[in-house]
Amino acid sequence: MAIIIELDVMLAKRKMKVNDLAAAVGITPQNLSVLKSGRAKAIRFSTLEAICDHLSCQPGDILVYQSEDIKQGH
Amino acid sequence: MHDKTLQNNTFLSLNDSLLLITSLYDDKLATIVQSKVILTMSSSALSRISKVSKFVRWCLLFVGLLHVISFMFTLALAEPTADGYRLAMEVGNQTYTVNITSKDAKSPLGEALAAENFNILAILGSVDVVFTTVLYYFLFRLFSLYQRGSIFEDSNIQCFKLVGYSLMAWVVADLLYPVLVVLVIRFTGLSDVMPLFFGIGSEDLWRLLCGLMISVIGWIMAQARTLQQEQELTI
Repeated sequence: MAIIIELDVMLAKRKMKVNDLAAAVGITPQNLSVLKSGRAKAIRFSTLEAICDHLSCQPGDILVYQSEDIKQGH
Repeated sequence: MHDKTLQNNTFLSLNDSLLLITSLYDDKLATIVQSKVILTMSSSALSRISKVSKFVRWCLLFVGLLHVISFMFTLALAEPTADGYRLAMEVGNQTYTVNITSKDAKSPLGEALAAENFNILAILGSVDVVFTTVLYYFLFRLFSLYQRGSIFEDSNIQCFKLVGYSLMAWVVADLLYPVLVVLVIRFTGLSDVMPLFFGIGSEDLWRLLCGLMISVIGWIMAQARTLQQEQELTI
């Protein structure tokens, strides 16, 4: 998918564990794991808002668009 | 979805342990957990489905075996008559007879085959037995899945579609098989007077309609499954 989730980068920057963020946002760790691994089909605004709030960042810091051509190295 | 489930489910210990496992960030396990959590949503309904499915499964097994065994029994012991088969059994001083007659789209071919001293039960009856057994097998598999608590999974959808396709294939076989039988008899020189038969009965049309409807339902179930998977992956 062209949208890349950089949640692990933000978590590393904030030195926060996935379990802690999941508890703070109010979603289960496995759902956060699904989001982190890029397997999620969609994200609710409320979830995005809560993540941004707890990581003190912008949606653009977590969601990055990368063209399929760039990904394939063309 | 998980949060809602966690609030009202009765399997909290199961979910707790699963949460602990998935906290190790194993994505495959996360998928398995999702399906497990969904299963806990209506455990009483699932339990009822499981019980009824178990009963239906045994019924299918019984009826299926009865069908095949009675066919084999008739094939081995029954004597051909002018309009079908007669099975005579002597129990003590009493003699019991069972007359088996059939009237469908293949009846003219049956009469022609009987006139040429062919075993019509083995030639024409075997197709029906094969397709009936295949249908019983797919239904048995479907209800085994229901019994195990798998209701809207891909394997259920596949079983559903296979039942539909089998019904439609049965109709196609019913149309082509008599022609094939006559052609084989003619080309092998067993009979030169056998006319070609091509017929479709109301039973075939009904089977075709049922097969079509079941296939469409299976296709709709597949679409619903895709929607469900997308919903599961909305965080």
